[in-house]
Amino acid sequence: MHSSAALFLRSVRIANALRCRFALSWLISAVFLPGAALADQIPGERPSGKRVTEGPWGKLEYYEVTLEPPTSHLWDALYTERSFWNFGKIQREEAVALFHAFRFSPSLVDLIEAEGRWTETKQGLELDITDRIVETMTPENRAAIARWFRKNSDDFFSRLLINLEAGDTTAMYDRLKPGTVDLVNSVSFRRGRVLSVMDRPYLLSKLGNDEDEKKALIHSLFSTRALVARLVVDDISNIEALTDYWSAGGKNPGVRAILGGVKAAPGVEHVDMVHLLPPVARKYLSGFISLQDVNPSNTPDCFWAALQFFKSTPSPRVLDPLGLDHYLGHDFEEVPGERTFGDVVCIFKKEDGDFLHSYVHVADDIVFTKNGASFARPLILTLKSYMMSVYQDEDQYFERTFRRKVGT
Amino acid sequence: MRLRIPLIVVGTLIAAGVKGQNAIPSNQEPRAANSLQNSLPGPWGELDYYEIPLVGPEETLQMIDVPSEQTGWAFQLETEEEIVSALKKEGIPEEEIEELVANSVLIVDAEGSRLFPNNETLTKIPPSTRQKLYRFLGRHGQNRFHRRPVYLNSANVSTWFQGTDLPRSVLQAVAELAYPTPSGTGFFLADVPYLMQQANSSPEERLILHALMRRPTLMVRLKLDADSDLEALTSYWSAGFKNKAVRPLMESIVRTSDVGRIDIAHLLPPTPRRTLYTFPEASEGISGRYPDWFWSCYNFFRFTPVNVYADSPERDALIATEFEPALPPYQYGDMILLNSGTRRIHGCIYVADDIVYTKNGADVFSPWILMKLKDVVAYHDLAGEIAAAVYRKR
Repeated sequence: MHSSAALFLRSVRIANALRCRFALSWLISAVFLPGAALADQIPGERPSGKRVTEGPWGKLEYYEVTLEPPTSHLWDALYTERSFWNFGKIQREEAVALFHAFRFSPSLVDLIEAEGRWTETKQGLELDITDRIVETMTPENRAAIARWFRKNSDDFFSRLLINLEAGDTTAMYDRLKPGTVDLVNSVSFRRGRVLSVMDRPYLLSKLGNDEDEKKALIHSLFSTRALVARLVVDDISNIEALTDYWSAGGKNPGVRAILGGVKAAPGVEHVDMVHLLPPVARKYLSGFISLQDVNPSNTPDCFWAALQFFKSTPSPRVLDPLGLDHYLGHDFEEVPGERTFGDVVCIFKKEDGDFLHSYVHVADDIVFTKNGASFARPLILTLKSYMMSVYQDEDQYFERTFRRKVGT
Repeated sequence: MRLRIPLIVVGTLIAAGVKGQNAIPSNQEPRAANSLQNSLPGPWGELDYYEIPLVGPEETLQMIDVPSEQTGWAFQLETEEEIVSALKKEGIPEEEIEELVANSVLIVDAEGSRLFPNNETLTKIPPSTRQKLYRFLGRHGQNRFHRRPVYLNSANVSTWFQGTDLPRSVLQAVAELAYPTPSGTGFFLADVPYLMQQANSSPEERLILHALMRRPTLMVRLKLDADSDLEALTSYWSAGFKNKAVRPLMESIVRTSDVGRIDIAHLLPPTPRRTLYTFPEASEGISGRYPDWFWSCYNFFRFTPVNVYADSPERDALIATEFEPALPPYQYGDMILLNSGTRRIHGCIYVADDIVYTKNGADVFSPWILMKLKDVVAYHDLAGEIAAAVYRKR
């Protein structure tokens, strides 16, 4: 079992480092093993239509939607067609030695030697790679070098890698030409159960002058699976029980009026879940963060979203470099057993106890989350299995659940 | 641009509706089959909506002072003669004034005079006289129930109070004492003290007061499916890029899902989405005051609200610099200002068809809600003289 010290003795320095990493990330790509709830998820499965879950939360109906970031949230650098790797402070000979360690084929190493262009930059040793190099790499080659970047050059890794939601490219056929999806498939690779792409510049260059398809590709790569959910409120609904669940012990008091009102409206049988969420969650639901939310050193991330779930307005204080226990250790209590609406779940790496991700439990497998600090990732209701599809790579993790105290 | 809100006197509706004998069935009657209504189709698409009552948080409702069951009217006048004269000027028939005064107790002191009518006199006042009398009383601050009467948007009292468990005697009293609004839409009720006579215990007092404090609102949904004209709908709801963040969700629903109808809370900008159907929290009054109509209108498209209010010195300058007068057809997000003479008494935000986003008071009992524009006008038009002016965010 993990030690509580792993969480509560976390220093400001560590939190700063984490936050810094978040701020620079396009996507937090953390390290997990599937929990029991995830074991049944099949990568590539793409359910459609209405789904239903029943429990103490009542009867929830939900639909999957795919949110793409608006153009304003996709910055110019995403459209660069320069393919390169950054090796940080190591020497060229060391980098070449890595290729052998990564088990690159001799022909690939020869190709890199012949066509790759090495340069020393302020950011470290860089290698520009050609389309032929990209096309010669196997998924295993990509996974190996991605693993090294993640361990040794986390910032570059975060900029390079895109994890595809739900672990497959099926949804891209709704948006992209079949040939483009095939192209994405040709360079995608698995890291554990996560499907990743690191050759975005190559993909863009292959689309030539088809600017619309390039835009569609970038939007599609950053698309996020979300849910639109609604609660059934009909003649047999137990309003007291529903209010008890969704008011979260008085932390979300407004739901009583909504639930009672909907029940009293003849012919109406549902209420959208947006009305059952507390103010901050409602404000950001299915939306993207604004420049109003950021400060020069940090941007809202998963923890920012989870911590303020029950708040009436988001606090800029939560962007400050505080230790994780600053709030969790005082305004929350760790709770064992069954989770309920509004519980904050923090995920830690089993190997070293490092914080990886946090989300809010909503009901059953439905969670409220912001996957990483990227501007391109919205705050959403989604299935835990969808959320984990971008986190669940080679490593193991554990979870701890925290419940906000009433009045904090 | 100024619109004149037509004044339609609907006194006859009282007899047929609120005051009619058939208007007061038991509140245990079976519910109507369907409360869903459809909007007129327009560039906003196809909307349906239904009404629900919002009840404020218990801790807020507990702040309400329970009034005496003795009806008393305050006048800033010193003698009976002055009162009679003032009421005549309001157009109240002389014989009714005489009866009123003859059957009331008058107490005069240094701060003015108070008239206490008996029950029989109170209940016999004809609706048209009640409208004039109470409009006059509403100009005096001490008459709090006349200054801000309860607004009923339906002649069917039992429907309006559905789910409140109010006894039939209270519903009957409401039906008897409600009077038409000056704008002709809906009814006002100011005789809250009289209703207290029906309460035999403190829980019953709270039951009545809580029922009167309910705030009806509309829940509105947009039809959105594969047959929808996505370009037209996103164009309308993104309000000229001022609300462009709604596009991804709308596009996704049309492209990939069979949601069918989406609650328009999803199509509101972040700030009104956060506030919709909520009452102000204590934290929102920490600067010394709570958000009012101008705060709500001005911040509709703003991600981070600015604390400006209806009486802020910069209000008109902000309107002049950040908004421009708008002509029909009105667009999502337009600000509708309700003016009484030269006074701006309220403002709300146009959403679609005849539905607006509004906060009808600066108090903690006034939630942010969706209403019909005609109901917003009726709610605020205490004197029957409201004109509307429409402005669009630049």
